[in-house]
Amino acid sequence: GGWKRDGGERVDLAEQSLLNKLIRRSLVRNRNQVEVLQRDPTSPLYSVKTFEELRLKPELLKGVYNMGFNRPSRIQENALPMMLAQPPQNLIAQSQSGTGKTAAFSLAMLSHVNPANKWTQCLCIAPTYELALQIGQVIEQMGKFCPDVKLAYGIRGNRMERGTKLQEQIVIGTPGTILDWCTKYKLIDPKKITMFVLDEADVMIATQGHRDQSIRIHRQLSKDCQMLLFSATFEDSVWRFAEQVVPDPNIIRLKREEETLDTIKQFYVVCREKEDKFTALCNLYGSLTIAQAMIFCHTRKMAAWLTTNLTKEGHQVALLSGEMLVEQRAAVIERFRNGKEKVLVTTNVCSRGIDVEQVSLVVNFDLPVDLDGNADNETYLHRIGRTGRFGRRGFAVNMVDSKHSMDIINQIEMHFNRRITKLDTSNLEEMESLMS
Amino acid sequence: QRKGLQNSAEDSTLKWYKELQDSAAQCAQSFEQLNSPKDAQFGFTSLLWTQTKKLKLELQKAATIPVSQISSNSGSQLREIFDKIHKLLSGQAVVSAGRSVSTSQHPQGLDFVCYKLAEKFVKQGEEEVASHHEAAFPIAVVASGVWELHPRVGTFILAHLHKKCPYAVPHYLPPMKEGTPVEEYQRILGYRVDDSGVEGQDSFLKRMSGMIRLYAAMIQLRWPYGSKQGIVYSLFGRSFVVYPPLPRSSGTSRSESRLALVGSDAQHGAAGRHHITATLLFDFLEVCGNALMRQYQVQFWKLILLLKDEYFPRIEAVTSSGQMGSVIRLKQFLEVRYSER
Amino acid sequence: APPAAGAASADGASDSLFSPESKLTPEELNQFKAKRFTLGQIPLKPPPADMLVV
Ligand SMILES: Nc1ncnc2c1ncn2[C@@H]1O[C@H](COP(=O)(O)OP(=O)(O)O)[C@@H](O)[C@H]1O
Repeated sequence: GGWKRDGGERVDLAEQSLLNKLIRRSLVRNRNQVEVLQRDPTSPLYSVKTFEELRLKPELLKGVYNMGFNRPSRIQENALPMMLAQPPQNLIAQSQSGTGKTAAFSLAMLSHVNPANKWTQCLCIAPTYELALQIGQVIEQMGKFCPDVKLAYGIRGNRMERGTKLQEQIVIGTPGTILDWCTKYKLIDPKKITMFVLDEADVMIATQGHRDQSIRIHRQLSKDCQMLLFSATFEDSVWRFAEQVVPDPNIIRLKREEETLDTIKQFYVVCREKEDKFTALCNLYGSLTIAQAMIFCHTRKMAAWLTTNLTKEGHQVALLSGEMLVEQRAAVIERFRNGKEKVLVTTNVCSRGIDVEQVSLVVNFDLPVDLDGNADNETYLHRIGRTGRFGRRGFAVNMVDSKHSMDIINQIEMHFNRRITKLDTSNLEEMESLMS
Repeated sequence: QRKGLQNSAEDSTLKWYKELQDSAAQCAQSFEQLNSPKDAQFGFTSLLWTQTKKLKLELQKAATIPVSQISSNSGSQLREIFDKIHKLLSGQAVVSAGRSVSTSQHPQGLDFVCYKLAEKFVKQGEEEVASHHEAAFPIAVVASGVWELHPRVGTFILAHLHKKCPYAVPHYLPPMKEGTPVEEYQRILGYRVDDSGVEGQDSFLKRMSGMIRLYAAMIQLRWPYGSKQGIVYSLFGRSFVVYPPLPRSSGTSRSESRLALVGSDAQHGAAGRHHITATLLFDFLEVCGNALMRQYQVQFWKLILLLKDEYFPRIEAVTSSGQMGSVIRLKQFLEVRYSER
Repeated sequence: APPAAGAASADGASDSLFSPESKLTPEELNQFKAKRFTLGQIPLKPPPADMLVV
């Protein structure tokens, strides 16, 4: 199964991926070079800098712009021309989540279908019900001006009459249901599928069942169906799977940009006990303008205490806590993303893997430590590190409440060779000059 | 053709703009003097100074924290926030983070609070509305309520807004003068410039959109109430300008009631800036276009018509294809919104 | 109190939603009366309240 044991709480890859999708509002910047490996190295390499160059149907171009996009993302520059090329080419693409893969293949599917044909032409599978819904939303939004293109969801609970053929040109779903729809219920004629998309391959193969079902779906497709496979990571196992389902592929990869602390201003505040930290936090709020903040506590109990006190002061606070079900977490994250709550209080364990690049202030109410009480540098970096310059500066503030935690700050400074500046939150002028 | 029609108005706009900036600068200076401990020259830090510093922090917190707590979450909460700010501005004691504070504790207390509060509203637009467009209305509700009762805050809101977002000032941004360093000019256009260079296009547009949306929401909210707000009609200048109605503030001349959104212009060597115009027009019209339409009916419609017939062909001709997104979004929006007429 | 119509000031600014006709120049009036605006000649003042429909 796809469960990793970690700090006593399990981390589910599909869940992580979903929460990341939910919290994200914009593209993740990545300045690395895209690596391209063409099936036919002699053919010219196309990349586009604008959506116009793709010669999309006008309704579709409108749809793309209507989503607020201005130009293709790094990975899209290369992936889009390959996916839209004639004759069709297979593609394996890997880049970290948030770099525009979903938008890319959604565009490819919408561009690929012939709306006049009332049968399923594009099939897309994703690891979970929720992820399939997310993709569907993108397709619906992007296809807003293409009223003749219809979309069906092959997900649990979506019961269909046996034997009637679907008229929707695009079907998106989870492997189990899609397999049933193709074989058992015969709602889809797999031989008529001309584009097959497999999203989040790494998450997919972490579950044996999904992996097998995907392969069984794949086997029914015709040989000249265009195959597209996407993954956020590329371990050997993903690679072997990809080669199995995508013959003669073009391959593009965009290496994850390393997180750095370069664009983050780091501070520490000396406090005595938690009440003191709380006051410091209020002072920070008085002098900084932040759209949203994320505050990390060591224990659930502390997180709960902090949430209560912030709420009492009139702040809109969301608490992301370990015992919540994934639906509840998703709801909390979505509310936070939509600005209903502007402060998210959490413990590290339940937010591990969540990308908080969008948040401009991160507060370590408790410093991240490992089991031996030493600085947990990796967690620190993950909490406050950013990839590249994304236009917004970020701030990180560490609350120091003992000699021991001061030692941890020093360890972190040494480890990253970056200064963490002392901040006196009762000194307005100093705060404003340091944090502007 | 006659070009003179707008010129005199531009002059008065600039005058008004300058008055606003001056009054804000004056205010900032008045409490600036209180920052530096005069006694320090004599080698000691006075108790008074320490107290003033503390008081300033508490006043600033009392003014700005409520603004940062505004969310679309609840209407009754907005009322509470508004009441808190109103109390503070009325010289009453308010409790913030467990401490009681009042502007009457210092002669410059009220000035300081008005200034910081206004600044905070604008910053909230720049930061928060930028990434959550929906946040514009709840913030505008509070801001325009405060503006109504405390016009001085309104003056400073405009001053801060104009400073951070030159597109909210109803005049054409000057063309780049020869010899002006590019970075300096970028700064005039509203870009952030620091050691690491000029801010990226996306981040810049996001901030400007945030402020314009907040501004548009304030205009629209102030609309139906009272006699205080001046209203100025929307118009084209040499390219496109919308002069929305505007709440009046005391202390400056009458012409202050004129605000405008100026789309930047083709004839001023501004090619390459049309995506800014298009983006901000879209932001502006999405928030308060309907209200303008209701108010000015056919006269508003004539503007839209001019946009469609004269403006789009021009900017489409000069906008590079990589920046067409904003133009197409605006066009699309106008088509949908105003096709039913 | 209702907005005071006719408060347009001499410098072209206005404190109200609409301009009284008397405060508009013939050119401005012509622009408001016309079916279309002419680029470069759109008045800076608000239209008169009775010129909102044609
Ligand atoms: N070309 C683009 N320009 C701007 N934003 C984009 C672009 N492509 C995608 N996005 C946005 O970036 C975010 C991440 O894109 P997504 O396609 O979900 O990435 P991935 O599938 O790699 O996780 C989404 O909010 C999406 O709307």
